[in-house]
Amino acid sequence: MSSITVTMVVSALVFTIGACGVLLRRNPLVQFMSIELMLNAVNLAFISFGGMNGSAEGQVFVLMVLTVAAAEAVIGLGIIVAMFRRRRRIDVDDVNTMEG
Amino acid sequence: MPEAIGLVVLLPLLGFLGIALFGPRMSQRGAAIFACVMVGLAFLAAVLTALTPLISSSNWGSYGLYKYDWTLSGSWKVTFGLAADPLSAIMALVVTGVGFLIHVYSVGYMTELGEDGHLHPERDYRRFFAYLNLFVFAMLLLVTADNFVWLLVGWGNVGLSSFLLIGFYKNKPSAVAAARKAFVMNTIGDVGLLLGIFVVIANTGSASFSAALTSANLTSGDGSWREWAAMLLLIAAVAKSAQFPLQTWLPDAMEGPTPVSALIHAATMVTAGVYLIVRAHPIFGNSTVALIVVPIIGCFTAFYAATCALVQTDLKRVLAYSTMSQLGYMFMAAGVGAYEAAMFHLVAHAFFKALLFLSAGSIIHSLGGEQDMRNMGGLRKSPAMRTAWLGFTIGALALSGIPPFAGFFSKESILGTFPLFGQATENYNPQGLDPIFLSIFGWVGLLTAFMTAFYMFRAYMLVFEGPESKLHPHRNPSNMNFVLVVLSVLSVVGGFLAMPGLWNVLHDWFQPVLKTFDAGGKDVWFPIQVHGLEIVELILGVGAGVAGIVVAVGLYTFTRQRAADASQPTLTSTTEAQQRATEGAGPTRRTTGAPTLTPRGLEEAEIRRVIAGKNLSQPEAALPSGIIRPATRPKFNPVKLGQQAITAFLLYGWGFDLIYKGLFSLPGEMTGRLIARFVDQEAEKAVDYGLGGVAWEGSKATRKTETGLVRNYALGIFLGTVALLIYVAVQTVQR
Repeated sequence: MSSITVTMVVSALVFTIGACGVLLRRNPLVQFMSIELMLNAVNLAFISFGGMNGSAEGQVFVLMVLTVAAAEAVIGLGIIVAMFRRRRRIDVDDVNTMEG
Repeated sequence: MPEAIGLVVLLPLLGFLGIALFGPRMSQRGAAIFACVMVGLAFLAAVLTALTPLISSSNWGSYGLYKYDWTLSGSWKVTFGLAADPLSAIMALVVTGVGFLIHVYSVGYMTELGEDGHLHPERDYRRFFAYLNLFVFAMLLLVTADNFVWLLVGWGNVGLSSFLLIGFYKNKPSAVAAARKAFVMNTIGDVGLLLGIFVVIANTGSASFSAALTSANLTSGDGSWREWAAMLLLIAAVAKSAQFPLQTWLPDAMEGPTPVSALIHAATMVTAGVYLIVRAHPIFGNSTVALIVVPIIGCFTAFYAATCALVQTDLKRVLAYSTMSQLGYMFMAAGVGAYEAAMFHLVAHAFFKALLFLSAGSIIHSLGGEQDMRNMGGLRKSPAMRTAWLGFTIGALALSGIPPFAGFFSKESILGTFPLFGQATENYNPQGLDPIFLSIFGWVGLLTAFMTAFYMFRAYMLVFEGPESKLHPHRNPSNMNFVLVVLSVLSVVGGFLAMPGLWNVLHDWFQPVLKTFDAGGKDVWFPIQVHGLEIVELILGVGAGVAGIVVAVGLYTFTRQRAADASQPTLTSTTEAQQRATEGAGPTRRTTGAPTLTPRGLEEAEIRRVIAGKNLSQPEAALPSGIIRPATRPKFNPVKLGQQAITAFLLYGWGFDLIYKGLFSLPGEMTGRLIARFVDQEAEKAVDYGLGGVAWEGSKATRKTETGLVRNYALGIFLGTVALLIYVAVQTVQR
């Protein structure tokens, strides 16, 4: 098994774990961690493809993703804090005012 | 130094932006002083500009300082550029000079008497000065633009700032209605200006004054476009200068604060029409139609406005009609080609009319907002009113054309343009107008001069003489009095710019700008001093003024005219009457926004009461028409009825408001009501039950998918992505 296969399999596994976490858990903090897992799975794929092609672009992309992830975490945590202040508990299913 | 013209325009703009952006951080006085300083500095820059011919004799330069390309369309372009030439320099001097004085005056005027007996800045003090600076900037842009497009930009902006300032007391319905009226009337003019500019550009290929006006002077080729351009530009000039038939907005514009009336509706903005005609004189002077139509409009308006001013009871309305009348004189002169005389009267009028308005403002301010002359009287004896009395007297004498005041010279130079006895020669009738026309204009001008003197001294007698009024004037701040003194001096010496027959500074001054466009080398001036009967005409001119004064003083000293005036119908401004008709509401008969104890507060309370549908403070005023309230019960007396009818006719400006309402406003309103009643309601039902129903029924099934749970949405996104991936994978494998 070549190294690219190994990293791709790991990446796919991590991504799936992350996706399941987002879909199944109701605690927004855990959901956030799961999102981070998904992002980092993608990062891993980027880097390994970059290494395979011998170019630095994969790594540049990873830096971009990291930046966006950091920004997103700030906003997400802000929302969670606000949610907590209003309701004294955090459960994403409480937030359903967009119901049709 | 023609380059200083850039500063002239820039500084008031900085003042406006400064107060607009940082106003809340300035103290109220600070903002006012900032505005004054900016306009004062602009005045100094204007003086520098005007000194150009002294520094180097021939260096007016060309049009277009600070040029840059603004709009490009293929090879055609509109540039931004400022013109520094005698015409724009003198306009800039008047605008910044009078503007500065009025700024200083406003610092004192825009205050109200607090409960502690001191004067405090009114509400929105900073906003007032920001608007004033905006106006000065727009006006300067108008007069210094070197092409028609930027002239239009300035033109529109003065209209806007005029609108903002007339409606400055935004809680007063009549002021808001007056502002709207002025804006609508001015928009008619703006459309005319825009179309006129199109005609100019289409036929000369350029919007810049130098190119367009030079080709307007070419006698070869088809010149008929000049007729169209002149007529369209005339619409603009007529609207801005409140000439017939677009004159009705000016008297109502007196709802604004008095310094605004002085600056915008007397000294500067309303003269923009005259400026446009003088600036575009190659177009107007080469148009055979304009040469007849412009002086006829001016002549009619001068006469019409003077008759209306005879019976007005509101002090500011007298001055408004008087302004209209004097602008008519300027149109008369500019129309037949006496541009120099028109500009001379423009400058002199700016001085003494600003003086009259500001004196009136002082009186109104110190009487706590009273504008009805019949409630004044005997104010000459009041020590607080001494400066206002001096200013008003000098202004009235100047307006009546009494030597040696400024109005004498300027008005005589206009009257001298029109030979009274038809003695036309080639020398002063280069346009070849029928001498009969000219002499008719001359006689009407004389009659108007008589009426001018009469109504000014009627106002003087009502305000300053006679039994003392029950109102007690309070003292005005010293800066207001200072401005009155400066303007008084200017109104006395301003006339010596041009002494027909002795020297004529203005003639030499305007020589460069008006020579450039001379049609075929022919001098388009009427040399004022030439024709033979000038002494007789001079005596007639002054005689008309003196006669008017004597009649007015005699009538109000020795007869019971004062009592007759008191029983005259009371004018409620038409806009106010309309408001009342629509709201079924009571009187907003509080005059300026100036003092009385927290007047705005009272008014708001009243508006609230009206909204709540409760009783009004003065229910008897809610008469259905709300227009004429005779002070005494009418008895059948044909003579008296006739008199009252004529008075009311004149009081309402020959009823043009009603005519326009019937012709334009009512049909539109009725159409609107019909559509609202029949079309709108049906359409509304169709839309309500049609489209809305479809959407409601159609969404019943899909509505359930919106659970509001984030996880479900995420699952949707996830499944969608997977589906896409499968699709791409299948496609790839198949290939």
